[in-house]
Formats: sequence, structure tokens, C-alpha cells
Amino acid sequence: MKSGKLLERWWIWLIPMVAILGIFYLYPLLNVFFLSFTNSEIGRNDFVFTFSKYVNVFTNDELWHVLKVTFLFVGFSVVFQLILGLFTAMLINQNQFGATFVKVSMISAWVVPGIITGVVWKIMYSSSNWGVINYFVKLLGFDSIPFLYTPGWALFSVTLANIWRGTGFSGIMQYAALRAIPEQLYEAASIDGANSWQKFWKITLPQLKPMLLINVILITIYTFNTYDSVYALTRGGPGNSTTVLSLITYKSVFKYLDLGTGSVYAILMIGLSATFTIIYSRLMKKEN
Amino acid sequence: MIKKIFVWIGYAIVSLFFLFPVLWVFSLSLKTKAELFEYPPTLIPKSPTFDNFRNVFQNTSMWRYLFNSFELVVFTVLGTLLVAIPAGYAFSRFRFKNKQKYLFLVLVFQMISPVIIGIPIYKYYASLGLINNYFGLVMVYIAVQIPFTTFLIKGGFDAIPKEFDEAARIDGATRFQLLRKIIIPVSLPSIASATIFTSINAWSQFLLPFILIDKEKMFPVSVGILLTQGNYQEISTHFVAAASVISLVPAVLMVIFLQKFIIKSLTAGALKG
Repeated sequence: MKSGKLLERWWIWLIPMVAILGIFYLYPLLNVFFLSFTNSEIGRNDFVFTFSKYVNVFTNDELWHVLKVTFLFVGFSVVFQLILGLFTAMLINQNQFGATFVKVSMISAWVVPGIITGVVWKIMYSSSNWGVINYFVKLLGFDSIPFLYTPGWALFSVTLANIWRGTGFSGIMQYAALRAIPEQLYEAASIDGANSWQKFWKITLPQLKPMLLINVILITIYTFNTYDSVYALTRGGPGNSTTVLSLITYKSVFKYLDLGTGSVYAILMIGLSATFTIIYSRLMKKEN
Repeated sequence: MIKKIFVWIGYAIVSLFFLFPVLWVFSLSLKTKAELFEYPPTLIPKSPTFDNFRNVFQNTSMWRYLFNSFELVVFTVLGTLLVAIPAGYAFSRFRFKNKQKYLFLVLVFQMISPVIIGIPIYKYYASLGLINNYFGLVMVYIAVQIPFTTFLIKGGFDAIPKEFDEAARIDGATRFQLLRKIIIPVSLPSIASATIFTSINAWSQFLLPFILIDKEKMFPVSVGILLTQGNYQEISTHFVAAASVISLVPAVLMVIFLQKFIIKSLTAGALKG
């Protein structure tokens, strides 16, 4: 009877979740914040409080370079995942024979673990005989391209691999939104003599807008947090040319053993993620 | 009819775009070393062989990695459900102050990259002796999974009419009985999709095992494949391809069999937040 009473309280049901999120998210977050004001290092127990890590990070050119790389990687990924996603979504929404096959192939790309995505694309980008992309490049009459070995091409290559991986997700989301558009809208437009192009601009896009916005935020956050496919492809190189914010955070701590600097980068990531999340929740509220 | 043909051409291009990388490694994984170096390369191997797979299983700990990943997935799924079901129930069935704010807080955690929490967790685990400890690792996996899964399960519970609850309560059922006998059985589809997503994510998890495990025998597939990629020489790309195929097959099979489920819950989750 006693336990029955206790179960009437809402917070009892939340205890496991609060405990785990508290220990594995909240406390680490506070800890990162604390560490960012110290000169802690991995493998050394003493430290002093200092602002110097913030000063170092913000006055160093590396930060601006990393932000630029992150911005290009995330920006191009988001734009192309959105456009290609919309294109594929409209195709499968035609519901012709074979649509299911397309859906399966889209999600397959999406569920391939990020690390494997990197390994697979690295094989395809190779300049050796099995590098199939360079095979096509040569077929078109160009010289073989050092996809992973010059800064500009490397950034292009990791972005392309990421677009491949993320477009399925974006497409499926937009497909769901397309299906939710009432058929009557199109019928009414047909009666008024609208052509397909007009229907797309006047009905499909406006109706899709909420989902597109939500999608932009979600893809931005996912891409922003991506490190595994980039790591497997280039380890962030050559030089620092594909080092995105999440990779520099990782590298600072686990390669250079500098907890303080890594934590400053982590704080920066938290700030940006928080901004995206707030925009996301605003959009959600508007939807409901 | 012309429109149909255009759509089909579109289908062909899109499927090829998504499937080609997978098909290409699959093809390489069946090629002999001699054929690997042949130019021009062909998609269909001339004399397909499973030798590369045999080599990978013999010369790397691939079986071990697969088993490790499997073990991590199973415990993560169980643990996540054990936490997310009661939480989803509370958010779905109780009325309390600031509920929306708490829900938002859970959502915020979902947006935080494991890289960030990995830093301090590595530090505690090192001082607690929890490096190379699956219990410790699974706890972090569970934490990473909880936000999304809680939302998914809450959504499933929300779809059950409140009248069900009231009828059962009048019959004298406790909340626990209600959850066990009515809510969970009725919302099995959403629990199943939570299981699918948790499994896919736990299978893909890379950074956390990469920093929290340094014993090779304890690596999951994601970390093991990186080691395999590094250990084999460039000229053994056919072996790396075979290893990649082995590690992506479970996820792809899951998609093929559970395609409807996945699409439905993906979209439902996103629309409801």
C-alpha cells in the first residue's frame, strides 16, 4: 500500500533519469566549465585558476581557422542535405513502383556508422586503382585529384561524405511533411489552372516551411557534433584543414593532453549548441 | 507515362547515389588482390571470393569486436528502456508544475555532443579505475540515449487515451500495474522503435569507447575497424573493405527489415519534438 502511495508522486518516476543525466551530463558540464578556468592537464593533478586558456584560445588564429572550417563544413552540408533531401522527398512522394527501394537506400546510408562512412569514402577517394571517384575523374579526361591530401580538396571531400550520410535523414523528414499537405490544395490549384512550377512555389514550399526550418536546425546540430567520419577520413588534416570544432576539442584534450584549452573549446561548442536549441524550441512552439 | 519515366530515372540516380559507396566496398571485399590492382576497376568482381572475409576473421579480432558491440548494444537498450519508460510515463501521465521546462531541459541534453561530456568523464573514470570497464561505458551510452528515447516513448504513451487509465484505476489497479499491464503492452510499437534507434546509435558510437577503452580485446567494432584500417597496409584495401562490410551489415539489415517502423518513428519523433 505504501509503495502504491509513493508511486502517485510524479518525481518518483523521474529519479532514474535525473540521476543518470545528473551524473553523466550535468556534473560533467559543470566540470568542463570549471576546467576551462584552469590550466589542468591530463596526467597531472595540480592546477591553478587562470583566464589564460580563454585568452590563448581567443587570441590564437587557430580558433578563427577552426571556426571557418566548421562553418564551411556545416554550411555546405546543411544546404545540400536540405536541397537533395527535398528533391528525393518529392521523388518518393510520387509513389511509383520502386519508391520503397529508394527509401531503404536512403536510410541505409544514414545508419552506416560514421567511422565506417569515413573508412569507405577514404577507399573511394584513393588515387590508387580502386579509388573509383578518381576513375571517373580520369574518364572525364582530368588528372587524378588528391582528394584527401590538399587542404581545399580535403574539406570538400569530408563535406561530400557527410552530405551522403545525412541526406537520407533530411529526405525522410521532408517526405513525411510532404505527405501531410492536403491533396485538396493541389486540386483547387489545378482547377485555377496552376502549372506544376506554380504549385511548387505557391503550395509545396510554403506548406513545407515549418519542417524545413526544423530540419535546418536538426541537421545543423548533427553536423556540428560530427567528428567520427572526419576523423576516419583525414584525422583533421592535412595540417588543420579539416579540423572542425568538435575535433579540435578532442585533439586538445586527448592528443595535446591540455584539459584547460579543450574545455574552452567545449564551452564554445556548448554555447553554439545552446543557441541552435533555443531556436529549435522557438520553432517548435510556433508549430504547436 | 513520360512523367513516370522521369520519376524512374530519378529513382535510379538517387538509389545509386546512396547505395554506390556500399556496393563499391562490397565489390572490393569480394575481389582478389590481383583484381584490386586491375585498371579499369569493375563493379562486378570477376572471380568473387570470400577469402578476404576469412582473412579478416583470422588476422584481426573481428569476432571479438562484433561480440563486444553486441554486448554493449544489449545492455544499453535494456538500461535505456529501464530509465526512459518511467520518465516517459511521468511526462505523459502526470500534471506538474514546469513540466514543459523540464522537457526542454531533457531536449537540451540531446543537443550536447558526447565529445564535451567525454572530457570530464574520462578524467573521473581514470581516477576511479573505470577505464576499460563496460559497466562504466554502458552508463554513458545510456545517458547519451536517454533524451531521445524518453521523447519517443512519451510520444507513444501520449497516443493512448486517458480513459484506459481511468477505467483501470477504478478497478483498483496501482500505477505500476497500469503501466505494466496496459500502457506498455499497448505502446509496444514505440518501445520497439526506441529499441531500434538505441541499437543503431549504440552500434555506431565511436568517441566514447575510443577514449574510455584502451584494451584492444575490449574494442567495439567502430574502434576496431579504425585499428584494422591502420594495421593493414594500403595494398590490403580488399581486407579493409571486407572489415567495413562486416561492420555495416547489421545496421543495413536492420533497415531492410524494419524500414516501415524506422520511417514512421523518425518522422513522429521529429514532428512532436
